[in-house]
Amino acid sequence: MTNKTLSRFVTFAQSSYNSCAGELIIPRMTEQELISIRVVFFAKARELAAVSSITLPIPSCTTPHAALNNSVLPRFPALKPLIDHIILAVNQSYVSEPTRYLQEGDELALIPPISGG
Amino acid sequence: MNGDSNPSINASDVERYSRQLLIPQFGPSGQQKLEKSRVLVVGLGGLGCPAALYLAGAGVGTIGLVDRPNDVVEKSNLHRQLAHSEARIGTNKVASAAIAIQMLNSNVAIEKHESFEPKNAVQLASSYNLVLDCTDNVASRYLVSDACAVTKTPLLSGSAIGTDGQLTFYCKTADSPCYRCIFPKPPPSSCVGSCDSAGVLGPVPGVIGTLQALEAIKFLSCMNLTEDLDRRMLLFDGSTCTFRTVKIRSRVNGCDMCGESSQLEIPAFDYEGFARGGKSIDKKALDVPSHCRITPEEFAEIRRSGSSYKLIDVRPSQEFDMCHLDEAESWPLKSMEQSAGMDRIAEGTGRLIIVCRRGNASQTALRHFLDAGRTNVCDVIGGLQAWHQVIDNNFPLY
Ligand SMILES: [Zn+2]
Repeated sequence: MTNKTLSRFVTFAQSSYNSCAGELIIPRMTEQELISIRVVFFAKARELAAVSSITLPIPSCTTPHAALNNSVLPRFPALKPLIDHIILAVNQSYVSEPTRYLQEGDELALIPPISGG
Repeated sequence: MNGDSNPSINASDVERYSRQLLIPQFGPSGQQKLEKSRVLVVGLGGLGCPAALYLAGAGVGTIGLVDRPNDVVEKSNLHRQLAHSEARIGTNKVASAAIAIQMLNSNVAIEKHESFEPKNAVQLASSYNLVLDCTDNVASRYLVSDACAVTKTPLLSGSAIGTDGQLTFYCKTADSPCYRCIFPKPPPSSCVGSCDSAGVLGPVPGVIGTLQALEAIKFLSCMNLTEDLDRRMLLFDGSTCTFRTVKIRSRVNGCDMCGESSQLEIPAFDYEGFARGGKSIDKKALDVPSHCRITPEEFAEIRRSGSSYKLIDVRPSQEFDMCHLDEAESWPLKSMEQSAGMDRIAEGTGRLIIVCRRGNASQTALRHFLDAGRTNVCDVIGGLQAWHQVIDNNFPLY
């Protein structure tokens, strides 16, 4: 790693440390900055949302599950009956527990089961 | 093969399988492994047809075939279920697929099974090296997965509807998830269309079923490729012709089926009830008085008598455009249930007859009319499907 990229990395790590205090706690909704994520809908979720993907501003320090419940669902209430039955994936990887915060530019995918054949 | 001749592949087979024998990672040893393999294909529809045909073409030794006992080839299957044929409409799907496989490759031993049910699922799964889930409904998907989880039989699970498809491996290794690990609760029925109700473009299950066969051939021939669909799910969006894969989770310790403290007894489990568990149809909505329902024969009599009535067809508009009775007026249930529609319901007093595809949506609509205080309204039992069966077989069945 060159000095330049290292210093950029350190700056980034510090800024995310500062804004999220390192711990997985419920952030105060005031003094929050927004980040934007990409939300991608598959199969029935695409049909119910009537869109295949959107860019969505969410508060920083938001877990994937919180983003789903607090940002995606209010915008697409038709997804409600499906929400407990989907695979939630961040950047093409399944997330089972809310153990991380979404970062700027992350892709959140909603993948419901298909049963036809 | 680099000048080697392999004594256990006979000359005729070398010719038949030459194009795949030329693939370095496959070769004669892959062919021999395929010939010793036993694969069970559950469901001989849009996925099972291409999957079974490609497996047969490749020379899988034994192919087991199973579908619902009463599932016969219908005209509406032929746009996607290409192992069947016009001449075999009305034939049991297992029998029809067996004929197609035999015609393609008579080397293949075919085992025809009458049903895949909770009482025989475990025994069936345990006698195969690999199971392909090519079924078309939620209950069967849980049953196939449970049987594979308990017998530790690798399961390649494909699915398709509309223009979307999915494919993944379940139960491949001790760390692999089963279907319940990924989808512990079945989705409500309103969120799971079937190809019968929601439609499907034929090549979409064709793509997924074909990839199912490809993954099966690679697995059974032990091709040492670095990555397969274990803990990865392939997503196919046919509307944009896009493939993606997502990493999915490993086995869940607390899984109802493959978890350490699982007590699920497959033969005693009510799969149909479980699949209906999330059912969103309001029970009360379907609770319509029987005197408000008429048979297709009674409706035919009303039509003949020349008495006045208004026929309301509550199917979605594209189904209405496909076919409808001449006097019918289109009023899709969906728009009826919007507030403007609910206002209109209370209007008028003349006789109303409601019809839909199968006699379910018409009951929901009937309930709305009754709740709005309308009298002199009824629906047709069995809908247009029953109309086709009992009154007019020229009316399209779909
Ligand atoms: Zn499991």
